[in-house]
Amino acid sequence: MSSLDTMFNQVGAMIAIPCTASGTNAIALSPNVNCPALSAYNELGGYRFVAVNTSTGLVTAQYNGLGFLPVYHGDGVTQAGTADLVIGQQYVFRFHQALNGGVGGFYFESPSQPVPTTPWYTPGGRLTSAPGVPVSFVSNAGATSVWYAPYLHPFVPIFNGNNVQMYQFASSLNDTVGLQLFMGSSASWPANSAFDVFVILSGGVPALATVQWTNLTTRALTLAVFAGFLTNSGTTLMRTNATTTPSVPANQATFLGSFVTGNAGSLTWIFPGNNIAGAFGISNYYNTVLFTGNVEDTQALYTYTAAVTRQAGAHSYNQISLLQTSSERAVTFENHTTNGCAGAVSAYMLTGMGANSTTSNAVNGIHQAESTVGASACIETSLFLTTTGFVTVSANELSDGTHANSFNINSTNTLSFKAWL
Amino acid sequence: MINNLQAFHAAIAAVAPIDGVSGDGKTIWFQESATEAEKAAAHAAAAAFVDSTPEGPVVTPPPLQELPRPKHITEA
Repeated sequence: MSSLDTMFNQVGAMIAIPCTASGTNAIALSPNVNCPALSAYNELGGYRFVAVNTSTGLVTAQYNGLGFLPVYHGDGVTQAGTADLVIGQQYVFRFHQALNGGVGGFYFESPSQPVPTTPWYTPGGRLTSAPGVPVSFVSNAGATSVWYAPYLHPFVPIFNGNNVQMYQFASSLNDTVGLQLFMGSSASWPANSAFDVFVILSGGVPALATVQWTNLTTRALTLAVFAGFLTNSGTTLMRTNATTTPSVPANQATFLGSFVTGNAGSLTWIFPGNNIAGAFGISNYYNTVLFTGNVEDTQALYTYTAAVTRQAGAHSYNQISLLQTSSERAVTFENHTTNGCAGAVSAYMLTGMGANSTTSNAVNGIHQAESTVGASACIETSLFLTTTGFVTVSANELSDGTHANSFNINSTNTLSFKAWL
Repeated sequence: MINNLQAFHAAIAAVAPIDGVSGDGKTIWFQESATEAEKAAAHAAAAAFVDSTPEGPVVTPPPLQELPRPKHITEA
């Protein structure tokens, strides 16, 4: 009978003995019923158990009351610590005499995990109106698609309902085009409307999807930080094409940015120039680029007497429109004008800028004549906006209601902007 | 391009209520109260306007004369 016991224990020494665990960081392992209760640790003998707590500090363990020894990761040096043991998961501690300076310790064998241990990071592409061009310096007056092109890298983090994974949104590593949202002038994206753009999983692969804003300055869908990036806060119907609006569970749509339509199903991306208004209908949330530009009024000088604010020279091109998906980034506008006061004491003129108004100014500069000779002078004004939504800033002017003051006397009045888009 | 924009503005404003004129003479901004007759008169005044020359009147310099040599200067 003694020989049978010996053989039983010898077999037990060669397997991972099923045990019951107790403790959080000091794990006491007791052999289960009908399992060998060995009286000494044996080299590479294992002890299998299910954690009853998640570890909160450095982990030690003992089997069958034989004495606590440190538990190490595979390198035999790094001791298991906080959260290395997760409640409800199964582990094996395997004894090795050489560990712990020869005193002995345990190797820590983790269970397989469905959760990838690779980290995730912010989306790597940029929304653009030009396929394959993440930072476009070419004007596009009627883009009927929005593209998400690789920029920093071709991956986006998406919560798939179980965990966050980085998904490759480009078809290959040398694909520069990325994802396309084809609108094709469809009324499903109404004219003069703003939309948020997300990347979701459609059939297991990344796809672009949109949610319309309430109006041009009010986002309809609340965004929520999830795993460190912005997502949809609740289950949301999102549009992936002109006829499809899948329901996307909370946090499973990764926010990328916004765009605003001009005509239905199309957007504008126009750089300002000589007598050309600027219009930037795309705003990225990640990987923004600082864009700049000038509207220069090269038309002839003119007189204006009315004490009524109007767009400079009554020219509709003296403006720059842009969308800001977040107020986190300030936008700067500057208006430089050269003007001549009429030859009358107290004749005056004002130039400045209006935000979404050509009949009132958000900022003014004044030039007033001090003698009957009159004089020319420059007026420079700056406007700083921290706004969310679509804004049009126009160069505006007004006169004193009496005198024929001259504006744009050098035909070089300039409206400028700087914006992270 | 109108050289004397103030005079041009005054000529138009004399016949019609305006807010301004453009320096190329192509645009007149009328006030809402302007009648069709006043607008027609304004366009007629614009067409008849005689602009000044950009440099002003031409001044002819007097002919050069040889100045008398100062007495304290002697030739070598």
